[in-house]
Amino acid sequence: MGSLSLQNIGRNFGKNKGVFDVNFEVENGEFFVILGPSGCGKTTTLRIIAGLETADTGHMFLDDREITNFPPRMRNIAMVFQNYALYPFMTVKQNIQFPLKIMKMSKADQDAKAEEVAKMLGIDDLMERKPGEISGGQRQRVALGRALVREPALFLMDEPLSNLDAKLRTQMRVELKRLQREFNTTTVYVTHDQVEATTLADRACIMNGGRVVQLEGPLELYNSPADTFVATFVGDPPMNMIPAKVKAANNEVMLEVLGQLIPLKNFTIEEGQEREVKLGVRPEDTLVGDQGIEANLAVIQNVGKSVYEYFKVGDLTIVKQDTKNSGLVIGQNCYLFPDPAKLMLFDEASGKLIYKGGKMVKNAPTTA
Amino acid sequence: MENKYSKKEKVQRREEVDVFRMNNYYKNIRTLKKIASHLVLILFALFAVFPIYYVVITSLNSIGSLSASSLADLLPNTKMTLVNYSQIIFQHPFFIWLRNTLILTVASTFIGVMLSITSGLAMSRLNVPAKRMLLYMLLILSLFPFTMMVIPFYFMFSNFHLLNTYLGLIIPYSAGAVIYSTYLIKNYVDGLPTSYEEAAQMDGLSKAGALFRILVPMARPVIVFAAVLAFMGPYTDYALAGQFISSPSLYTLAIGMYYVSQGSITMNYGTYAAFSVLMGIPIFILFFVFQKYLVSGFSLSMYK
Repeated sequence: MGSLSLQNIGRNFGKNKGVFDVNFEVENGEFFVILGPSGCGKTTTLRIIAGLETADTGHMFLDDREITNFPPRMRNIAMVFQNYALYPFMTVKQNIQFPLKIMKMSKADQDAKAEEVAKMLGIDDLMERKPGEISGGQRQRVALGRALVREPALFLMDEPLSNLDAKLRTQMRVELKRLQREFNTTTVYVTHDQVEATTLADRACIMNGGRVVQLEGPLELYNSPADTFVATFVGDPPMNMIPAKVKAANNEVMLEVLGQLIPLKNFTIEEGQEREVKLGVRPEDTLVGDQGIEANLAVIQNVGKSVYEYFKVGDLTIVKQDTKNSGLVIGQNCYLFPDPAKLMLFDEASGKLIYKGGKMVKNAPTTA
Repeated sequence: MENKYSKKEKVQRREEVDVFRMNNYYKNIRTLKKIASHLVLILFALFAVFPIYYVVITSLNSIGSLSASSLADLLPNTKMTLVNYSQIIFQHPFFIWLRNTLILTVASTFIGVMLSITSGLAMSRLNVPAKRMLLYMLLILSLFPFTMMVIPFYFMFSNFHLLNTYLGLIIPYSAGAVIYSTYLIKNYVDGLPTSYEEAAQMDGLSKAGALFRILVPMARPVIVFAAVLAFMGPYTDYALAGQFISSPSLYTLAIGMYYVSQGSITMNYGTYAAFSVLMGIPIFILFFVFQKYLVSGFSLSMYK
């Protein structure tokens, strides 16, 4: 069991730092990811859930019990730290058994439990070693074991994969997902890596400046970002952002971008009006054609399964992604245009998404 | 033979030989450097060991006074005897002095280190009011020589009727240990990430429980170092013990050393040296046992 609910949680560190008015619900058994750049308040939010930090405002419920002011040990929440925080003077076995020892479980039960968890994590042959004598990936497993062994209501992870090398990280990502399914423990996972978010999360929320910006399934974050921040944060390389203007004249709505006019369907705007917008195009939705924005190819990155081409347009850099080379050589001029069905428009002033997939977004802010 | 090679080939061969020579030259230089540095190190080692040797060799001689000694006495010779040692052990209450010293040192080390652990942890991890001021005060206190406080302490303790008691020495000794050790432990614990005690709190311990059950074992190197420091001070102290203790049954080793080595006219250097060796043995054992911790402890105290 373990459903978590945060209501208006706030913690002010002064100077506009901290977290403000955070609301979300995590359902039982869900893998919930908090995503955001460093300093966005995601770790603070996690520490408030853990009870290591106290909230100034708001309420927090775990299984409908208010735990806002509970000390960490009374919350029945386990946590995996970024540096694993394995007690260096204890063996792996003692580390895993430590929460059980504090619960005053019988020695035989402790041994059985630790053995069972260690088997599932594949660390049963390391039990008598000290944390200093095992590798980073193994330490990670021990930290998971220590958290899993007491079957907590909620499982918190603070960037648990960031200390591993790239290959191990991919491997552990798969493993984490499998373990979470197996134990079916509600998990709140903090990361700045959007690949981790998209691969692990059932739902994810993006934080920026201490506030939740968007809360949705990980694919929705990619496909319909709420604003320019989410749009550029999720996706690698980030979405191309180009200043543009929507014009309505002669019963035609046109998007004017870098001197080029692109016809726009279903855009609500009064005849004769203009609106400043930001054009957002994913690298894979950037196309090369006979006409469009004149650009100059500057860099080609071939990573095997896809090719990234970086174009210069004035001071702007536009990235294009494809599965194969476009045949252009560096320094060559060409014409770029956005896939009309995929292009997104964001409000210039608020940065909110207003137009996507060939139509206006519901409840989009109108002209500023 | 010579005509077998063209001129160009000869030049090339010459160059190869040169390169070979250069390589050998650098190899030799490296060997020379190694020899030179070892010579210097041996010199320093001798410099460090000589006083110990000097004390040991003096303790084995039975020379009455300095004027009767010669440089030859510095080398092992046939006149060597254990008479100085037997005198100390069999003609004086050496073991009573040892017992007194151990009671004082062990008690004050234990009390001092316990207090330092709690205060060091508090200074590092808790929101102690006026923390900075308290730390500066500790630092200022450690600047004063201990002997400076002998006379004020004497008057104060005589009012409390603490002269000629164990307690009268244990109190100032442990207080002295707290001054240094609190700072040492605080600095060490500052360097430990907070995630360890946070993990322990998530695992079910209270904040205090997490500090004592996780941070104290993690701070073991600095605690051992602090304990050895706290032990050494009282063990060798003469200034305070010499003033506070007047009844012979409470003499410590340091007082006893002074007592036995005083001859009727001159200082009895042989006995003095023998006593130093006897007193040095426990410290030698202590350093040997805790070597691992002390090496790291000394490097820690450098960063103070």
